[in-house]
Amino acid sequence: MLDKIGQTQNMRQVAGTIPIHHRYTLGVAGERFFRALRDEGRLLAAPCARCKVALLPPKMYCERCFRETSEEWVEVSGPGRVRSFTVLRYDLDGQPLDAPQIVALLEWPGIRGGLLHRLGEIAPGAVRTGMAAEPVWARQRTGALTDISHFRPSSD
Amino acid sequence: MPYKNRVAVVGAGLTKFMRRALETSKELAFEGASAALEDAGLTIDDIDCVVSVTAPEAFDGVHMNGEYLADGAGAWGKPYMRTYVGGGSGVFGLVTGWYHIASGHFDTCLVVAEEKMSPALPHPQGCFNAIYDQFTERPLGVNLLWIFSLEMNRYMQTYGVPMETFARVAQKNKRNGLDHPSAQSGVAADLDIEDIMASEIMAWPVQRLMVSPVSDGGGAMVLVSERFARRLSKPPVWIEGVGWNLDTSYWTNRDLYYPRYVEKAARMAYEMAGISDPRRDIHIAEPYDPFAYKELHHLEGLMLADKGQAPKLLEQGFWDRDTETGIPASPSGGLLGVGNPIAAAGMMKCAEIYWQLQGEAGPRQVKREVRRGLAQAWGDLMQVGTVVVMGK
Repeated sequence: MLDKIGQTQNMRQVAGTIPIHHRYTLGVAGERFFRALRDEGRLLAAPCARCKVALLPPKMYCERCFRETSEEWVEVSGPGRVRSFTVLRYDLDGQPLDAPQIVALLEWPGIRGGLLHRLGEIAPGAVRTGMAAEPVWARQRTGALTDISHFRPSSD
Repeated sequence: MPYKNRVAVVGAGLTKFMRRALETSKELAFEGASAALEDAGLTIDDIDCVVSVTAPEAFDGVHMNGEYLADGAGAWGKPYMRTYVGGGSGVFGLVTGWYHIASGHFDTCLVVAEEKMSPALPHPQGCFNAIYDQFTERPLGVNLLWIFSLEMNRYMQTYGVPMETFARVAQKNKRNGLDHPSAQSGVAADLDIEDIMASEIMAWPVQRLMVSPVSDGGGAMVLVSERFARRLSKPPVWIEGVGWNLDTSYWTNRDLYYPRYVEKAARMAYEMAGISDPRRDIHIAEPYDPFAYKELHHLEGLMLADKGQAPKLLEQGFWDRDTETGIPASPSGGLLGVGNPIAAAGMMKCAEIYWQLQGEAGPRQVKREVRRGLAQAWGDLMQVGTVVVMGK
């Protein structure tokens, strides 16, 4: 039996695709969050009255107490802090990147959640957890996460 | 009883069904789950475990959709699983919730259904093309419409059922749907048979107004153990029987005129519920009706009519919502009258039986007295039957 399997030399392969593509709605919370990002260049968070934190990215509901979040959203102010980071050397297809890319998990006081984003204007070896970072806005904003081009080190 | 717990339903909730919802899949799940918790008078803190159901994730365009939905389903910090049998998932969610509690492991389970079909373009039928074999069926451009038209034709030819009969199913369900607050805009309607007969042929003999629409929607139900149910003020509805069964995956190897998978699933549920004569003991039914012929086909599989007799009973008004001697079928409006966000549509059928047994169906409340009813769904590669029997 083992001899019969794995004989791949003469195997035909047929190309195929699943004949669909997708268009996603941003959702009730996403619509408002990305609109503020695009139109006002502001990062908003949705407070949960029961848990006494604000959620970033904002959600329609709090996943912990499972109640609707407040309609009174708040601006995320001040720099975030790097909770963790990594330095990428290869792209999604396994090809080497021209230059290493830093990705960081950013957090803010009083905020549950945070943002996963690129960190720039710093050498990979200089990044430290706990360091402060601020958003650098893209020249053209479309209402997407990439309206923030990247985060860069900032003073506290 | 070999089970540790008797299982009760104590709440149900649905979102509005829509052609294209602004809500993300998670938000639809949250809205359905919140409505069910509110109906039960409970909060997430009362919930021991969570089950989610959603049909092919290719609709939502999110890989590992169960995991994606988890927080919207209220699963944070709880034992959680997604269960999946394609279109049968809505009813199978209740089955899965049932065994979480029947096992004795949990006292409460929130079962959440969600479907967001609208992201898939150019049409969700593209997802269905890819459920078939890539060498024998997909090269022909298969989709569900024409696969089902083969089945419908076989059923029609076997019993000599005229097209008007199928139009009458669509008319009944679309009229019933007018009274359902979740009904998708334009789907529930008061139509003449002639209008339905004149709707465009999509894949002969399937016509547009005899097919359920593409929909987004969510829904949920709350299941609890007997000891938990006794603490609540509202009388419970019991899950008396559950059944599920799989036929062959090959359309070429099936009878087509008769859904054996439904009969086997129903027999399993009836035996558990102690039902020897379903036509006497089942008082209301929500058979799965994504296509008009499927309601009749499934009613026969459920043994609520003899083979080939469901069309004749239809003509006699036996399945009408206001029947006094028959068995109302799809009093909710069904998939043809409310909409078909797949897993959520199955949940809607279960919710209808729950509300009918509670006497809470409002303008949809059937005339005859109902003490026991069933919901049934169909799916996977269109060879699975799932059945839940509920009783007061």
